[in-house]
This record gives sequence, C-alpha cells and structure tokens, in this order.
Amino acid sequence: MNSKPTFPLISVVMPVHNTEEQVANAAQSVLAQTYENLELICIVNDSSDSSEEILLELSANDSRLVVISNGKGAAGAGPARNQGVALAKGEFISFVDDDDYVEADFLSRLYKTLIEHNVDMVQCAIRYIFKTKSKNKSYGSGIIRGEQVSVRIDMSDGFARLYPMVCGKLYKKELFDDIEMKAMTFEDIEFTPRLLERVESAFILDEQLYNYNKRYSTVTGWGELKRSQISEYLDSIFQTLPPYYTESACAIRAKYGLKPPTTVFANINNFTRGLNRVIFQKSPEFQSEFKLKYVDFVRRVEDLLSEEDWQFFSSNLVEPLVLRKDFWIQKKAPTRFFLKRITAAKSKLAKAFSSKIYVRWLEPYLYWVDFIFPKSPNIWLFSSWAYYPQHTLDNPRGIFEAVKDDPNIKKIVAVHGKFDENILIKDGNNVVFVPVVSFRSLYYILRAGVFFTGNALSPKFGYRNMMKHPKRRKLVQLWHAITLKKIGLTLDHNLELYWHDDANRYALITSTSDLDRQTMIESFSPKRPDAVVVTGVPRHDLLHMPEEKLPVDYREQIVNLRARKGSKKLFLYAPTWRGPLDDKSEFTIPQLEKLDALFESYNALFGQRIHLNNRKTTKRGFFTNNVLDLNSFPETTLLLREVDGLITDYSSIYFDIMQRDKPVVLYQPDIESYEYTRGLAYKSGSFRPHEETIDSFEKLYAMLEMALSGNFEPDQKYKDVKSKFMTFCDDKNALRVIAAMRKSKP
Amino acid sequence: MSVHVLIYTHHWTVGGIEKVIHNITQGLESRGYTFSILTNDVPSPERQFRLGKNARVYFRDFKPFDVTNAERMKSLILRINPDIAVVMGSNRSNLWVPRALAGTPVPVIMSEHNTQILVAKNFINPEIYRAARAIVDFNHVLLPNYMSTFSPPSKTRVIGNPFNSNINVEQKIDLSTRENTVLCLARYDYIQKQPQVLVKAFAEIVSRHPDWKLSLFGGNWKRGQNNIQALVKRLNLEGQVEVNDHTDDVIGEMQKAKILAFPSAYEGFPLVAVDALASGLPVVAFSECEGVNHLVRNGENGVLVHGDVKDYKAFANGLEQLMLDEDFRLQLAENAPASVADYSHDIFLDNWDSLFKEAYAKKGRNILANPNAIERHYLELLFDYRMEDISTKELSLAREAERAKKYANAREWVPLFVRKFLNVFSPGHGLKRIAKKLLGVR
Repeated sequence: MNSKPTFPLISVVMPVHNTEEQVANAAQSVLAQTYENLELICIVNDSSDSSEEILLELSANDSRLVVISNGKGAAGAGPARNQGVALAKGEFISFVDDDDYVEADFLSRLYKTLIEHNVDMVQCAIRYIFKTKSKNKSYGSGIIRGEQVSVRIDMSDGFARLYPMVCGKLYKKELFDDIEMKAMTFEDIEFTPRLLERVESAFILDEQLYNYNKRYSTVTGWGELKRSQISEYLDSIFQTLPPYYTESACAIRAKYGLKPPTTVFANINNFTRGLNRVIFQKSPEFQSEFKLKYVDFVRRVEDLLSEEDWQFFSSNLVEPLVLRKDFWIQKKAPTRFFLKRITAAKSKLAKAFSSKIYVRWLEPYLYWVDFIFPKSPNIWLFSSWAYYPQHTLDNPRGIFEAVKDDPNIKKIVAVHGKFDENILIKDGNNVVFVPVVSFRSLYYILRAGVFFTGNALSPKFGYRNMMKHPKRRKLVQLWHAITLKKIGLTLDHNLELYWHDDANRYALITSTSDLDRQTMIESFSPKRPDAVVVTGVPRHDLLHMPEEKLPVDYREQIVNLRARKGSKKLFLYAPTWRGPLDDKSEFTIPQLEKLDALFESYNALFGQRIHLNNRKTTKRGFFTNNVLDLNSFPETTLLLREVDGLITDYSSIYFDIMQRDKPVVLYQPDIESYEYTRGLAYKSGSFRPHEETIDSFEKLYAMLEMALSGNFEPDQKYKDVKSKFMTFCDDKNALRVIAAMRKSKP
Repeated sequence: MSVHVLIYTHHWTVGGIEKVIHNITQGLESRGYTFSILTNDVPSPERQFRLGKNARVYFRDFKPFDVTNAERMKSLILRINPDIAVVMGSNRSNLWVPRALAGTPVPVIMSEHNTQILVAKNFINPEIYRAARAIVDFNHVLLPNYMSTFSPPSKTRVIGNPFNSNINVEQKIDLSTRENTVLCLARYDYIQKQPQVLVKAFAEIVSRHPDWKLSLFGGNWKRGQNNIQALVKRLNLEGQVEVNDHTDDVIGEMQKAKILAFPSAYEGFPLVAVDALASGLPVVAFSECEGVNHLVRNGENGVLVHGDVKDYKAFANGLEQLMLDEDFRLQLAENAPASVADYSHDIFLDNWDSLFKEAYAKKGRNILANPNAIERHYLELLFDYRMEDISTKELSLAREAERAKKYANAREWVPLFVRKFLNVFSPGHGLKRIAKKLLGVR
C-alpha cells in the first residue's frame, strides 16, 4: 500500500537509553513501514554509548526521524514518552521500545482497523523473542466498548483483552491530553489503566505485529538486575497497584463477574524470580534488608486491598527464594545444571510416592475383580463432568437432588478434574465425594449397585474396564441431551470406536417421548428395545422446581446472575460444540455490532456462553455494556430458568427452555453442510419450533426484533414440536426414572 | 513494468540463501522489481543482511503449520499482494506457501538449495515431497544434474549462484610466483566439509614434499576446529599445517595459494569452488560429492578423486598429482576461469529476471488457481497430509480410544513379565533357546 497525502500523520515515540546494538534495527523497522506518512521521535535520555550517533546517522538519510537528546542524568522512559507525545504532530500516537522491532505492516494494519471499526485505540498481538526461541502470545480478538475497556486488562479467561504495556498499540492523539506518565520503573503498567478510563472503545487485533525482545530486557526479561535498584523496584511495583483498585474499577469488575488482572501480582512474582542466589550471597547485609523491605511491601498491599482482593492477590503470590526455609541450608550456590538435576529428582520422587500412579497401574486389572466383587444395591454412583469440581452432570444431579436426603442410600459423586474439598456441595445425607483417580473411587466403582451417567463410559478412566458386566449392576444412561444430532450407534463407526461395547452395558436408557424413544433405541439399544423407557429427563426437574426448593449452590448463582442483569431482559446465545477442524459459524464483528445496537435500543442484554469443549480454542470476544459473559456459570439449566429467550444453532438445550415456554431462535446459516458433515437424527424442518429456517443474519435480526418488542406467545408449530419431543412437563422426572430403574432388570 | 515478488525463506540470518536473496534484491531493484521477504525466523539485529529500501521483511511465526496458521499465512500474503511468490529452502516449510496459496492467482516458484539426497531426507514423506513440487508453477535448482528427479523438466529452471563479483576473470594469473600452498576454505564441519580427511591426506604425502604448506580457514563448528588442531598436533604437522579462524578476505587468500583442496562429502552449490575456479585456482575434490562433480571436471580445471568420500589415501594421490606436475597445474589454472563463465553475476541476474518474467506471465493462469486432474490429486494429497494439523485435543482423544481398544484385548491384562515367563514353556521356543544358550550352541 502506498500511502497518499490523504492519510493522516502518525507519530511514533521511542525512548532510547544505552542500546547501541539494537536501536538501529528498531528505528529502521519503523522507517521501513508500508504506511509512509509517519514521524519517528526518538528521545535519547542519559545515554553513555553511541546510540545517539547511530540515530543521527539514520536521520541524515530520512527526514521523518527526529532525534532529541536530553543529555546525562535525564529521567527514565516515562518522562521521555511524555516529551515525545508533547512534540508529536500526528493525529495518532504509537510507542515502540528501543530494543524491540515492529513488522513492516504494523502501522498500516492498526490504522486500517482503527478507521474500519471507528474505535479509540487498536492493539495487536505480540511475539516474545527469547535467546533461542520465540513465542506468539495471543490476547484474543474482538472489540471492547463501554465501561469494560478499563478493566479488561490481562484477564485470564482467554477472550479479547488488553495488555498493560503501552507499546504495540495505536492511539488517537486526544487521549493523551492532560495525562502524563510518572518517572518510575513500571511506568506503563501504572499508566495504562488511567489512560483506559478515557477510552470508549478498543479493538484487539489477533495478528502478531510487534516483536518484544525479552533477551535484552532488564526488568521483565533475563537481563541482570542492578542490586542498588531493588528497593526502588519494590516501591514502583507498589505504585502500580492503586489504579487497578479504584472504586469504579472494582464496581465494574463486580458487575461483569471479572477477577482482578494478572498484572497486579505478575510483576512482583517476575521480580522475585529474577533475583538469584548469587546476589544475596555476595552481600549478606543486603539479605536482611531485602527481607524487611519485601515483608513491608506485602503488608502495605494488604492494607491497600479489600479482603476479597487481598485473598486473590496473596493466593497468586510466589514466595521469593530468599524467604524459603531451605534457602540457607546449602552454603554454596549450585550451578544451573545442578539446580535442574535436583528439581528433576524431586519431581521424580514425588511421582513415585503419589498414589495416582499405582491407581492407574491397578485399574486395568480390576476387570477380573469386578466379576467377584459383591455389589450393594444401596450404593449409588453419580458421574461428574471434568470442568467444575462442584458440578455433577445435569441429569445425574437431578436424580441426586431427588434422593440426597435418603439416609438408606449411600451416594457417591466421582469428581473428574481438579478435586477441591472446599467447594463441594455440602448438603444431603450419606453423601461421599471422591476424585476419580483414587483407590477410594475404584472401590466404590466396584461396589456400587446403581450407576448414573450422562455420556459414554468407554473412554473414561475407571469405567472403561469395569462396568462391563451388565448383569451385576444397574447402569442408567441419562444422555446429556435430547437427541438431535446423530449419536451412539448411528454414528460412523470409525469416528467413535467404542459404542458397540458401551451400548451393551446399559440397564436403562431414558427418553422424553415416543419419538425420542425410537431414536434412542436406534442409537443405544437396538437389541433390547425394552431398556429404553419414556420417563423424561431429570434435569427438567430443576427447571420446574420452586426456587426455595433449589439446592444452595443454584440459589447462590441465581442471586449472582440477577445482580448482574438487573431489571433488563436477557437473551442467551449458546451455540453447540464444534470440532477443531469444523467451520465455526460465529457472528462477525459487524453483525455483533448490529446486535449490540438492537439490544441497546430495547434495553436488553445479550448473554454469551460458549460450549465447554470450545472454550480453549475460542478467542473471539465482544464486550460492550449490553453483552454479558455467562461462561463462568457452571449450570446451563440454571441459566435457562433465568433468561428470557435463547438463540442457538443445533444445541438441544432449546428443548429445555421450551419447558418454560420461552422464545427460541434456531440460527442455522450452515444447516446444509452441518447436516452433511455431522448428521442429524431428524429432517431439518421437523424439530424447528418456528415456521421458517433462520439461515441468514437478516432473518435472525427480524426474528429477534419481534421477540424483544412484544410479549411472546407460543404458536402452533412451537406447541407441536414441544408435544412431539417431550411428553412430560413437570418436576417428577427423577422419580419416574428411579421407579423405572427399580423395575428394570440388569 | 513493476513486479512485486514475495520471497519466503524459513531462516533469516547471514547464510547462503540469504546471500542469494540479498544479491537478487540488490541487483533487480533497478529493473523495476519490488521485493517482500517473509520468514519464520527470529533474527538477531547484528546477524542479517541490510536489503534495499524497497525490500520489506516480515517476521511472522506460522508454527505449527495447521489449518488456522495456513489461513493466517494466506490472508497475510494476499494483503502483501505479490505478483509472484518464491519459496527458497530445502526443508518441509517449502510446502507451506503453495498450500496456503491454493486457489489464488499467485504463481509460485519453488527454489531448492541443497543436494537432492538432503532435500528428500528433510521432507520425510516422499509422496508429499513430489506433491509439493508438482503443484508449483516453476521449480528452480542450482545445477543441471539435479534436474533428473523433477518432472516435467519443462517447468524446471537451472540457475547457479554467482561467484564473487570482485573477481576479475580476464586478469592473467601467474601461479609460479606464489608459495607452495594448498588452501582449504570451509567451516570445520567433520560431517559435510571433512577437514580431517584433508589433514590425514596431507600427512600421507608430507614427507615427500617438505616445501609445501597446507592452510585451513573457517568457522568453528561443534568444536571441529579444536579437534583439527589436536589432530595436527598428533600427526606432528604443526610446522606445515596452519589452522586459522574464519577469514573475510577470501579472494586475497586465494591469490596466495596454488591449489584449492575441497574434500566435502556433499554440497548444494559449492560457492568456494566456483570462486576459486573463477580466480584461476585448480581444485581437488571427490567425484562422489554431488554438486562439485558438475563444476570440477577431471583434467580440465581440476582433479576429481574417485572412490569413497572418506578415502583420504585416494585424496592424497590426487593432491600429490597436482603438487608434482607444475605444467599440469598451470594448464588447469588457465582453463579454470572460462569453465565457470556461466556463473557470473550478470548472467545470474538475467536468469532470475527471465524466470520472474515467465512466472509473471502465468499470473492468473497458474496451477494453484486452476489445476488439472493430476495436480488436483496432488493438491488433495497435500491437504490430507495432517502431520501438524491434528490438535492436541484430537490427539488425546485418539490416544484414549486406542487405549480403550487395547485394553479390550484380554491378553494385555496379563502383566508382561508373566507373559514372558509363560513364553518359556511354549513349545519349540523358549526352552530350546535356553538350552542352546546353556550348551553354547550357535
């Protein structure tokens, strides 16, 4: 792209301090931009090497480079940047550090995006460069508008977020009126939240255009720390904290369910990690001084923060080496090689003594034990999902709620994933929680007479080898969805190999209607159709239950959700799971902008929830005052109680919300390809609760407008679909399942 | 005419391919070309060539090259908007650009810079290697004898690298005034450049030629220089063999010597040999060394030693033949510059210019935009090839399923040591073997 005079001037500010080896590379990378209408302002501060001469040499060939020297003793990067901004003539400002370099299309990409989306600032992704390797760091992608801009700094949720460095961004010049960076060490980290309070919208571009050289960095990288500066660093880190904990920032975080940014503790952790043994050993008087200073720092932070924030901060704080008990046992500092050896040996020892390894070793051989081990009909096992410790699957949870107070039945919940005693459900009688990978869990799997699950067993630890003797225990399959897509035996056998094996084990399979029963027979039990019974699914009980009867954790979450949404209407967008190579039919940014305006005009909220399996791969984010991120809620069933409508593509949770007669929109722009690649159990028209297929965004928009404006009344098609797929509409499903289970023969 | 050329190279430092890119961009900018360079590398500021003002370098990371990264590369290249794309290198990343550019009107030239054996080794899967070559519009190789593995030959072009433009080919050379010196210019790489073979060969003949000297120049490579120094000391050659560091004045050193010894095992394009021949220095090399054997012709401009590339005695014979016969040496030196006249800087630039023009003429009618049946088959092969595509999640699921299948087999539940123990009693197998062992019968 050749920039014509119509393109506005962009000022790039570069503070320079003793970097004669890298500064030419940095400056040239800016001057070689494809966006040519720029000025590069280099402020040379306190330089004792030839970096100034190198820049002057470059400026002789290029008039766009302005070099300003402040001589010896001038203050650090913050004041230099202030000076650069004051001198800048451009409409836009960007910062580049003197030891980094930018891509050739850095400015042109950022500028184009800024104009296209009409935002105040744009941020690109960063490539971190170390001595021998590099790492691409993505900060999500998407747009942040409104009050969330100032708090979405370094969030750990994986969606679009800002980083606290000032580099790698393009700003409108007017943002910098009457605001200055301080003369301190972590000046940009202190500065960014203050600046972001003025920013109304920011775009996060997921393209790596800024190369951050960690190999030369003193503060954040592996450069050598100066001992004399250590107490100054501690003070600077402390000064960075208050802008993140202003009253308004805390209030906004509470409103959108956000945690404080990782920045607040990352700096102190990086700093204490950077201090090495040698520094302490060389100067013994410094050790005690550092200890005192560090403890003082931590106390000051404790005073500054509220109790909740302090807990978050302290739980992420890494103990400095010098404060550890074993630090002084070794007299001589071991070399890096020996440190590695010691840590490797330690972890090997820890592995050898952890029981997990033996559990995993033992598990395959229990197949034979399962033949002879006595079963108790009064021990019921409930399987959980791996994502949330306190979360049993929706359907087993429905059964669990029905029998939790029965002292005669021992209820075991086998928890996948992280096991934390503190956040388990505390009510019920005769309930035991066990992590799946443990001897106890294996014992209960062997002992349980009844087992409730919601998904396939063959790939899961513990169940894959046991539970293979259907005559010895009752295994109830409460499939986690009402079948819409092809599952089980109707799938291509090469895709999921284990279904033949799995289907033979079930004593009872639930279904919701006669039509659903036929599909379930085809999918799970073609040889024994009697095993499939029309009972309804237990999770629907939780939809119909009066609020005061709901379990404690559900009620807590409802209070939380209501506080967040206020009196506004809330529509939930929850698309189904997509494989890593499938097309993801996400909304584009302009479409989201339109939706945002629509919800704004009707004073409603647009809640987004991404399928659990897709959370790690989804980066796209869209945050405005009208968008609620509902990913932190473990229970979908609970959300469906509270929301006023649902937009989905092929997720069968829309059947659940139809139990409450709420509006549903099936947005299926890729219905043909999805039907071909994934496969549906029914014809595409027969399960849709509205007359028309919504295959374009315009149709969706019109439909939503209708749903938002008037009161929703279920039409004939809606009622037909509901009665066709769901026979029961009450809170007795769990009891029916239990009755059917007692009747069923293993 | 202004043609925008995009050159992709995996590495960006001061190496051979980068030097070629440097030469092309410097030389062709005046002929109306603009260049963009795309690389996956992390550069050190001090270790890179400075290109012309119109050549821009993009440092982007596309590893692992999966579906999303292929899309990223495609959108970036389309934004750079080149008329031609050139892929330079000799490893698997060569197929990234053709794969990313499927369906676009940009013609692709694949330029391979190594011996065919080494390229094939880097690719792992020979079918993919063929597919990647088939779907590009032009293949470029450095020497004519590499062309045999390319089909069709009609789209393969041979352009060698140029010798140093400071060498004056017309200048009369007088070898007789120089000292008796054998020169070797190569990094101390035991596997490729084989300085140890030369030193051993020299040790064989040194007693008969006390007036001759061997001088080695080169960068250290995996402690090769230290090993060579130790070897020289062990063979008591310290008086007659100099082990020097890397030199920048290659031409100056060549003007001091009488013979260039080139004991490499394999070479892509031996620039040192071409430089030496251009400046009238006869070369001794192995005939088995691919790359050199095309440039050096036995008895015409140098001596090719037959036999294994590690055979230092044969190399010693070849070296001695040149050292003994002064007339022969002078005759070779006279022929040498003319034999490499094809590798001048101007011819190099002309060749690349005409290749770029040919490719430019194909813009919009290129293979990747409208492939025929065979090329479509190759393209599909390339897209099915999911070496790096499978995400970790998918992999773990596959592994899990495999394990589930494995444990379904009851045999697996019997511990390994039990199975081994039982094997002993299987008829005709275990006991017989043990008996044989005990009796010492073979």
